[in-house]
Amino acid sequence: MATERSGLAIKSLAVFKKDVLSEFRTRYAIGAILMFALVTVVAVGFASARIIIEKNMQAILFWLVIYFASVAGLGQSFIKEEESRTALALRIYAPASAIFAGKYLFNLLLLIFLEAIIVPIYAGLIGLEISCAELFVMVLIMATLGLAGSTTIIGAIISKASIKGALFAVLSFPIVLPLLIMAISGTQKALNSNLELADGLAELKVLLSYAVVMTVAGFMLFDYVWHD
Amino acid sequence: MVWKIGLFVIFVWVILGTWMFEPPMFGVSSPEIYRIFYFHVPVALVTFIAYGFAMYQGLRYLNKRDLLYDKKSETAALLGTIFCALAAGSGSVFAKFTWGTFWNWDPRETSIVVLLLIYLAYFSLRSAVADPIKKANLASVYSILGFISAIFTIFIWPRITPGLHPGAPGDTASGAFIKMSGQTWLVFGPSLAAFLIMYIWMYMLSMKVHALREGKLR
Amino acid sequence: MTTLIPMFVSLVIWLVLWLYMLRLDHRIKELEKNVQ
Repeated sequence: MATERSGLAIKSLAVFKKDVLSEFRTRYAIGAILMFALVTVVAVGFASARIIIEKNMQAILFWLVIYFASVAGLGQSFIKEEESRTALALRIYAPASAIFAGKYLFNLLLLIFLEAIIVPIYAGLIGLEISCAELFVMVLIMATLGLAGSTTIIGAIISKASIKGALFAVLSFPIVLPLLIMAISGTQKALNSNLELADGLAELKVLLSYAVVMTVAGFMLFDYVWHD
Repeated sequence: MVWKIGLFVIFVWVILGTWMFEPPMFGVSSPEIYRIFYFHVPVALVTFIAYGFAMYQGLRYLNKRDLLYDKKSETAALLGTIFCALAAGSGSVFAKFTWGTFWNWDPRETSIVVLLLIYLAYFSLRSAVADPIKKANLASVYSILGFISAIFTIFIWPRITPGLHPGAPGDTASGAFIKMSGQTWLVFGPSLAAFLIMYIWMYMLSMKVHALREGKLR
Repeated sequence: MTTLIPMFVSLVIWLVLWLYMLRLDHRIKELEKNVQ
């Protein structure tokens, strides 16, 4: 049993490492994410040149950028396997759970990368003043976990579809919506002064349960999507 | 045949009852505005139940791999979408008279549109896949994901974010759950039952048509 | 009096819908009999 579990972990990490390496070589997903971030930075920069963006609006903008950047960058994680025909090799190599775990970790890494760039840029651009840093960070962590989980399973679903197009955006939006709403609400509370970690507890609880439920559901359902 | 007459009788009772009995008021003076409550809420409940039913058929498909379950899931979802559109429409009319505008971005109000989006995304996915087995697989999986999202959007979000609907935090008039008096249940209960039976009737007819088509192809 | 009008309207709408459902049901029964 111990070797089985460690085998699973090793294979997950192997899948993760493979994705990181191939991404390093092609820089496709990172490129898509960075381009998107750059475009929104410039757009927001122009827009906010003379006006002050209100705190609640800053939170909304922030999460919209992250969501759309993830649509641009994270939707491809499985499609590239199908297109480069490495999918079959992957199926033989590892059990479904390891593949899901590896892809999940990779998407998580992409999101962390995205946020590491966006947060300081937006802080500088629109004068992001975070009143309650703990709440902001906690919301960020919980929401990122949830976002990674849902985008992984949806990415797997669309890789099997014939007409991909905007399907990722169409499918992911209703699924991710509760997460976005709670993340925006929690971030708004973190930006507004006089509010502390305790005030955002409701949002954090929902975000955490969403992350857990979605990731577990994705993990269990992945098998049905991967093997057809 | 008997139950269909019974359904007609129940609906006539509901229509008469909405005019004879007062709906739950939630601090509003005139009951006339609220009578639509007896139609809007049951339809909204039925559309949610319908989606749960569609998800259930999806689960059965994943379990047994019989494409019939996938057809049942699709039929359930299609009819559920109709009810969802009706719920959203009636909700909008309700909102116009109660809160002033046709759309308010109240959490519970928006949740019915989110459910509609989930339904529509489900059908987008179905149309994007050619192979029937793959279609059934992916649709069933997505129905489960959509159901999870629906639970969060419909049951959790409106209880956390302040809004206009009764039951939101900060609502002093009714508290966490709407308390309906016995008199209200006299109309609401039959209304819910009637719309549910209506849905089931439509569902059974659709499945029969499907069975007939299958029979003709063989 | 004016409150009775919506009631009649909804009754009529419901009657039409219900009759339509009955007609569908009847047609399907006929088709099923023809198949056998």
